[in-house]
Amino acid sequence: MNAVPRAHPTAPGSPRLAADDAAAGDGVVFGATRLYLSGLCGRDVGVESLRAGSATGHGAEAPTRSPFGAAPLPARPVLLPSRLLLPAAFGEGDAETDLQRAAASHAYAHLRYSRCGRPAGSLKPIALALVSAIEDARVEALAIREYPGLRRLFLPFLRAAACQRDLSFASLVARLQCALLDDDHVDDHFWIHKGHDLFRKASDDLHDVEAFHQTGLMLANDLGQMRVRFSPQEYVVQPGYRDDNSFLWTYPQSTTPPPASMELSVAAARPPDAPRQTKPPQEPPTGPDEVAAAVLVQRYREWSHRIERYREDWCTVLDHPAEPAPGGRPQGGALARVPAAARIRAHVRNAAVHRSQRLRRQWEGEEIDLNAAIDADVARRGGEAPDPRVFLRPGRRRHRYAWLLLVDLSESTRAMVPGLHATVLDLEKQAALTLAAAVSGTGDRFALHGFCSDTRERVHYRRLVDFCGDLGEDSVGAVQAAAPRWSTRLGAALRHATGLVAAEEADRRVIIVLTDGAPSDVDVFDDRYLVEDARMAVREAARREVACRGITIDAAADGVMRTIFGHRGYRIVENPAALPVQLSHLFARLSAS
Amino acid sequence: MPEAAIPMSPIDAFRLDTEPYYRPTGDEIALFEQAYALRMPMLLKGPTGCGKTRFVEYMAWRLGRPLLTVACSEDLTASDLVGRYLLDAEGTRWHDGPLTVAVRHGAICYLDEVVEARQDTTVVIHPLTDARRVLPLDKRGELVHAHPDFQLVVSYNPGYQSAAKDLKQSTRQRFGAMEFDYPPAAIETEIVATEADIDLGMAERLVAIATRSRALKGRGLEEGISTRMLIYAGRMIGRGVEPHAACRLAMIQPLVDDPDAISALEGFVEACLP
Repeated sequence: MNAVPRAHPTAPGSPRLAADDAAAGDGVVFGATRLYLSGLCGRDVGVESLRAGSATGHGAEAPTRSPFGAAPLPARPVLLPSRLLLPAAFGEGDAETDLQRAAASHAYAHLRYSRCGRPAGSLKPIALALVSAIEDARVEALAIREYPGLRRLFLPFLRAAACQRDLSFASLVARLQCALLDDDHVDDHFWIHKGHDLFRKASDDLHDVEAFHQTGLMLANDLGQMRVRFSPQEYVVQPGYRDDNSFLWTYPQSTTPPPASMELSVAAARPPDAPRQTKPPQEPPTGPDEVAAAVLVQRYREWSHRIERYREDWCTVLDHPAEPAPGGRPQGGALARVPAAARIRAHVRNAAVHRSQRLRRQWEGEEIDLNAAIDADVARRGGEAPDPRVFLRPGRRRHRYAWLLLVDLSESTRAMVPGLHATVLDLEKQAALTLAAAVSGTGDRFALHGFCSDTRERVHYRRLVDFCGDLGEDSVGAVQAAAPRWSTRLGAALRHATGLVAAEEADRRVIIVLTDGAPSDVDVFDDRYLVEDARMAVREAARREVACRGITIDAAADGVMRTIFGHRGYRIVENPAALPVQLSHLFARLSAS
Repeated sequence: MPEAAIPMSPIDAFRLDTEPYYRPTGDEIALFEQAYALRMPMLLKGPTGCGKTRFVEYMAWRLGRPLLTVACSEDLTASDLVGRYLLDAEGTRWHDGPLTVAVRHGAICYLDEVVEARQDTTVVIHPLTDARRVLPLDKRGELVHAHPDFQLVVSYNPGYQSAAKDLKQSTRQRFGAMEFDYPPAAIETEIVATEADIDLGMAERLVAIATRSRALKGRGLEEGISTRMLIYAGRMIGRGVEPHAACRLAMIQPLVDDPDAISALEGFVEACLP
């Protein structure tokens, strides 16, 4: 939002839902800027385009039109506690490096030094604007103290904004901003002098927020007495890299509805453990047509950590063969938004290193093959014709892998990922398909299977893409049509998967489990039970030389994942949007070994 | 080595004449001395370029032992470590490998990045690293008893998450282990300033850049900028290279190829340098 003092950034009745579809295809990823901001903050802070972010409820359609129908006001970035939304003017992707970097640096200054969501109380619009402007200068001064190079980054923008020298509110504030950070700035306007002096005086302790607050109020008061006209509708924060300061304030009117995204996610997401308490929803396709297909039924044992032994033939896995989807339509608009798919692909290909090994008994080579040389010498002394192939040569051969990506299809993956207009399952699918496409060129065996469970009697196992299958449109359709259902009985699915991958012809066999949290099922009430069982399943797999790795987006599942997959066998992706990238990284790591 | 000196044993060439610079960050020196007194095999873990090798060099100097370093790679075979037969006119002649030399003559043998070696290679150190302290040379039919001064030190980087590049339990449980990390900012600044011979202010800025890059570990970088890279950059700056260019050359470009990550790192350099 541009105008600082507006009560709530969202105009009532804005066509948000219609805008969402348009926004969904617009998932510009500011990769470099995101890394830059995350590095400064020391935690994951997303950077997204403001239009795509309109689903978050903070960005309105940018740029905002002024009420007079005049030229639209330039849009400003919007800062949220965990994300920075950049308007379209900031360029696509990583164009406009300095502008994006300045915006990110300013955002860092706020995140580090500002208090988020102060009550705006009864402050007048002009006071809010001035206090915000002084706060901007204060946090930038602090950030510059920490990172001296930022001054060089900010100054060109500040100077450009301060070029226009008239007595309008916008010009005066822009000149003040420039004077506060630029010691060379020459301005003889008395108000700017006063602002500069007050700011310097308060700068002895840049952390004294109250002193700067008072400075802002005083300056606002002066402007009021100077009869400088301030129109909240026409004011935008200057210079352009600064955010709209909605981060700083909470406005008193709380009658506005909560952000649309929250409604959406509340409506769409069932609580992750909902199936535990209630009977699983009876969905139409559970009945005859499933059994009619060539379903393979297999029973598996399950580990009970209480009695410390296996319960033999305890779980029934229903293995549904790969089948083309009936015109499977993508379940969410997000599937098309594979960020930098080509790069991931290249990354995976490069990572598939060729292992060197020594080719023995060669005609020529760099080293002597000692065994061959001894044999030759023995032969020579024995009066036989020696074999002249006594050299070693480094050769290259790639390990052949069999990969099985096991995707959690339980009900909880229906939850919306905040801010992405996609469900967890959408992201899982997107990640899986990206990886599948990347692997298909390497000559490795690859399968993509999914699972969900409805008590121990029915652990559904779906072969979305099977080992020999290619990644044609049918398979993609099958993957995209897979719908979330029921719960997560990981152990049984893992045992079945282990059997399948162990039967593959390969040097190394790996199962990667993609899940959204801890295993659970409606007939199990002991939280540890399925976790311990899954841990045993992983250990059984290891004994059959099948490595299991887990990747999850649930930071709270840290302990569980560690229990199941071991200290270094799992990865937690804090930012769900990064799931495809993280999965590819994991893949690259594993295949480089 | 002075011309007149006659080598008393093959390991004299591996003695350290001058004290390597090492700035302790805790009680690691005392602990290592105690471990050496027991001849306990030591495992040093930590990210690349954080000072593991320098620490071993320093300890070898301090304890007055020669140091044989073997950089492990996936091509390193057991015979590269223990020795092999070579061919000459008479037939075959045995040649001790670096590990055998250290075992016979009582040096510290340092296997750098030991997980890079193939797992069958690491198994040869097993009989050396328990109470037996022997090295069987099966090809030669010899059992070498370790010299009383011999100690084995290995290092590895646990940051690599890979199935194969991990130490087996049967190997790791033979060692005492010390964890290394990049030093705290103040100490790292001191190290960079000393090693690169630059002023503390510039060293502090380099360390600030590295600190930011380490926050990106796991987000886009496999590893952050190491202390070693900072020293390289510092040395270039000390020779009069423009700081931005030095940082790009010694700290950013070697670290990563991803354009996004490079851009972010350049942002840190821009922000941290005045």
